[in-house]
Amino acid sequence: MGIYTLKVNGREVSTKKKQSLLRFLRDELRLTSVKDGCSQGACGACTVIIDGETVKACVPTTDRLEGKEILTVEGLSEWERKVFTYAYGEAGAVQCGFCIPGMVLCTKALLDKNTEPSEEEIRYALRNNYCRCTGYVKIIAAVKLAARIMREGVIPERSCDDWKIGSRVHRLDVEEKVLGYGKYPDDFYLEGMCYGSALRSKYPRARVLSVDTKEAKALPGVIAVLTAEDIPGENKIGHLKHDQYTMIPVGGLTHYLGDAVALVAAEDLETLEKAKKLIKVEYEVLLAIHSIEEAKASGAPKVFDEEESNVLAHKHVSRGNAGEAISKSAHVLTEHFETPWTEHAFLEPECAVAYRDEDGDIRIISTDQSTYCTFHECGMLLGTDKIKVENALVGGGFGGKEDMTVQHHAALLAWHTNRPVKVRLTRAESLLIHPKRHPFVMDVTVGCDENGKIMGVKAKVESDTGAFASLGGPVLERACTHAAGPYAYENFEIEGTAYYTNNPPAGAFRGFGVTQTCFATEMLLNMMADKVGITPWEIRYRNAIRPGGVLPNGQIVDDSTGLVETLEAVKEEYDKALAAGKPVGIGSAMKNAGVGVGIPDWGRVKLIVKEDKKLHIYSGASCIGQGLGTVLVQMVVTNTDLSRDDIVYERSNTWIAPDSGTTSGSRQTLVTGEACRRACEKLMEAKADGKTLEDLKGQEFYGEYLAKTDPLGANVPNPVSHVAYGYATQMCILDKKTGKVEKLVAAHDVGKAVNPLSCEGQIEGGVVMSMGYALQESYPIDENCKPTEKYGALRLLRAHEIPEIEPIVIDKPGLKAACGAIGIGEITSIPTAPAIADAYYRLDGERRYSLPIFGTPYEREG
Amino acid sequence: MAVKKRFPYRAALAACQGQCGAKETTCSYGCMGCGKCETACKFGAISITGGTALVDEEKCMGCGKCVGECPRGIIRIHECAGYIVVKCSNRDKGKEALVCPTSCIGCGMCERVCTAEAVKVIDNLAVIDETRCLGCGMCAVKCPRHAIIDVRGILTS
Repeated sequence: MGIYTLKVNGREVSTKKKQSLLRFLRDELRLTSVKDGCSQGACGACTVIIDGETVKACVPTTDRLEGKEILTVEGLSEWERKVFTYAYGEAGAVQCGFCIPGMVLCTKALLDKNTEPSEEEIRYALRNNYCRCTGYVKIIAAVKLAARIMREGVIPERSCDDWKIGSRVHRLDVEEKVLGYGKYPDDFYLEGMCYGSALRSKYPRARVLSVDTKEAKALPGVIAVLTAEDIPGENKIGHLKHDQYTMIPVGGLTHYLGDAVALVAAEDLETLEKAKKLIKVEYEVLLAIHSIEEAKASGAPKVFDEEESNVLAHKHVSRGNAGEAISKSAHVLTEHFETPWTEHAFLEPECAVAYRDEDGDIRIISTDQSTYCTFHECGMLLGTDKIKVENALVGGGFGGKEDMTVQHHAALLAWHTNRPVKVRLTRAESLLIHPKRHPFVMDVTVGCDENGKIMGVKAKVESDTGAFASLGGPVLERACTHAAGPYAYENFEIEGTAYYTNNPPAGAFRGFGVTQTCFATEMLLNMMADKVGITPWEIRYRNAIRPGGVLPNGQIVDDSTGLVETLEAVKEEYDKALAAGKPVGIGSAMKNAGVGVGIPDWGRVKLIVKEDKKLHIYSGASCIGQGLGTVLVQMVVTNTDLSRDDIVYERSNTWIAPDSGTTSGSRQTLVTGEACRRACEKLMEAKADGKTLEDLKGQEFYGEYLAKTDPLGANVPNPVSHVAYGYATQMCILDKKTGKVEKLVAAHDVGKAVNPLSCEGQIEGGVVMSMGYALQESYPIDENCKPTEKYGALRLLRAHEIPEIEPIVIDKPGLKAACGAIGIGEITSIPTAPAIADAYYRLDGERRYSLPIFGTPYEREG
Repeated sequence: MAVKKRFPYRAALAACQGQCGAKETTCSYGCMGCGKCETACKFGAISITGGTALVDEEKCMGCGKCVGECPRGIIRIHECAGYIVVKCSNRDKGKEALVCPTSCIGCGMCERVCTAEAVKVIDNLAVIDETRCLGCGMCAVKCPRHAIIDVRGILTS
């Protein structure tokens, strides 16, 4: 064994171990700005600069780097730190932040060689690094800005700094993410920490006959090997339905390849992998269910022993008489549509660190979408509420971090070993384990009168919900309720069924079922427009829901309803494109903000004045990258007389911060935002007689808000299904010559944009995500129910592949909560696919009924 | 630079490392050092160095003149941003390809480690699809034959 000497950030360092540069930088030098996003060479989160060139640190090994000079963001000069922090903040380039240190180093490597890069050169410099949040638009802008500042040698004033609602302030987490000192769970290296991992089922559907852990336990360096028998509480956990096994017991059935059979804790990662191989499991291999078709076949094997069939959920939503209305319609269209699995592909793989704290409680540092969900589910597993959960930074979620993936395993291992334990999924595990976007098959009929006015819609949809419930029921429900679209008509009927299969689980994913059914109904609307002889824009304008109107679900919509405004916002460019003979497609959508349908939906915020004379915002609401902390600070500045410097945002936890629900359903800005506004009212009452924060030291101000709605099928004439809806119209223009997307315009009614810069970032990211969904993304699952293990094979869009994207943010007052702000998270991804598919129809006359669409330059063979 | 190049830059790539020692080679695929490409190049971008064609990407205009001149057909035009390249043209199978220290034997290691499904072994020779390549160089680092290289000289020397 040799000693390998290299130069890192100007310092000579050495190691005896031949290992990847990434592992050396993180585990030995603790340079945790270098993120481990895939260890496959795909994502770019571990990008460093070696001798002036960008390199993904997971690729080279220490033995081949003798004498090389390596730079991480920790080694940037003071000037560079300031420039990049300013540029990324001013441009709004930072969301979850996990890709950012890598992007910053790409920026530096480019600017060191090229002080005046063109847009295309910038895109090329970033193209080997993925970002799943921003759609790259604002990162490219940040590079341009950084180049200008580098040339001019002066950092300008921030363009906005008043922190009131409506101000494009720099997000509060920019610096920690740009400079890489902000911690995600994987960045915690606690004293005495060991590593945990699960041995997973070899077969998607098999009965576990025996588990022999003797040899694994005997391996030096192994601390514990656990099986289902070692669970002190409930084995089966889950968000709503408790059908997710923590470990499959002997005699039990496996449901997919991600089911854990045993858990191991070991001193290091190498021993961990060795120990897993020493566990002997006997299986009785059984026939697996691969598809909806197989799941519903008569006599089909059951995915769950304890269920009566493979049906997870069945929904029937009906209002008016759709059948009769359609039969009387002048024009009727019926088509079959299919949408695929989609992987969230957040840059940060799931990771949790758990340990027993000084109170004897199990403390979990987690990357999730709700600390309280982690608290409840781990509590169920351990049979105790002596648990504390806190969020570290969360490197993207998009719905994929709502369920337990590592938190419960880390908690159980810490419980048994009394050691800090880190459980982190490999990228291959992550691709297998967290719930995906449901594939749907949909048969939809639309009837219109001779003017294109919708008379009725009738539909039947089915989804593959995979190996356990997750949020398969609510996703199906939302798919059904929102299939009606943002239009005013009275006759609507839909029947939906979600089936268990032995595929990976499906659950929440940005859009929550609406991305799927919206594709079907919007495509039919486009076809209907042609039948009637009007433009797709016109048919939407004629049917659009307007303030005071009644949605097909019976809800009377409020004054903030802005679908018409989103249509009008794209009109000029739409007409211009049509006149120029350009292929142009359009799609509209609505998406609820808040959980709705009668489920208690609470926002809670506690404002505490601490010893530092600052107001600390505590809310059990996860920021998964969307910028909740910035939203809440802007909410406080707007609703109090405090300034930004008086306020500290605290990340979500379960022992000080009150439960404010899951980051799901585009709800935090509205629901937690309103709770925050109410807490501000109390603070201002206390400050009424001229008291300062110093006078209020130690005091707490609590605000809560119940977003009250009626359940589905409530016996009232006009049920309030959701407290608010966002509306959008998106438009796709193609370049006739190349057949590629030239421009995407996305007009969104958001009520009131708290931070228009962040809001644009959400739109751009959502649009690019769904452009990938429409045109090229792939999540193949093989005959063994095994999905791809390769991040780079998902075909996410890259920086040089995105078209021009124009976000249009429309403020429309009328919502009487949260200063009028409606969540934007999900709707950004909903109307994109039908808009793109329609544009391609206008190009080549081919109708598309499934995603990703065929016959485009984005399609890949082989 | 004689003419201003347009981004993204393209350049010729001679897919042989010339490790066999040129003319004495038994390799029927590699560069013979004949110099036809060097003669054809108007920009002085190709030289026969150590008996093998070597392209200077800075000088190369990507015109493709050399491509047709090469009797072995081992020169192609690629995008310079695709700096991970297969620098071998040997299409023999396994042992038969062991004619020089850096020949591709079609073992498929590159294909297995590529996250982007950008490398495929076609006719016993690794081929990188530069439109899919993510530039990580995992294939270059793992190639047991050092047939895949990092043109920048960072991941491979």
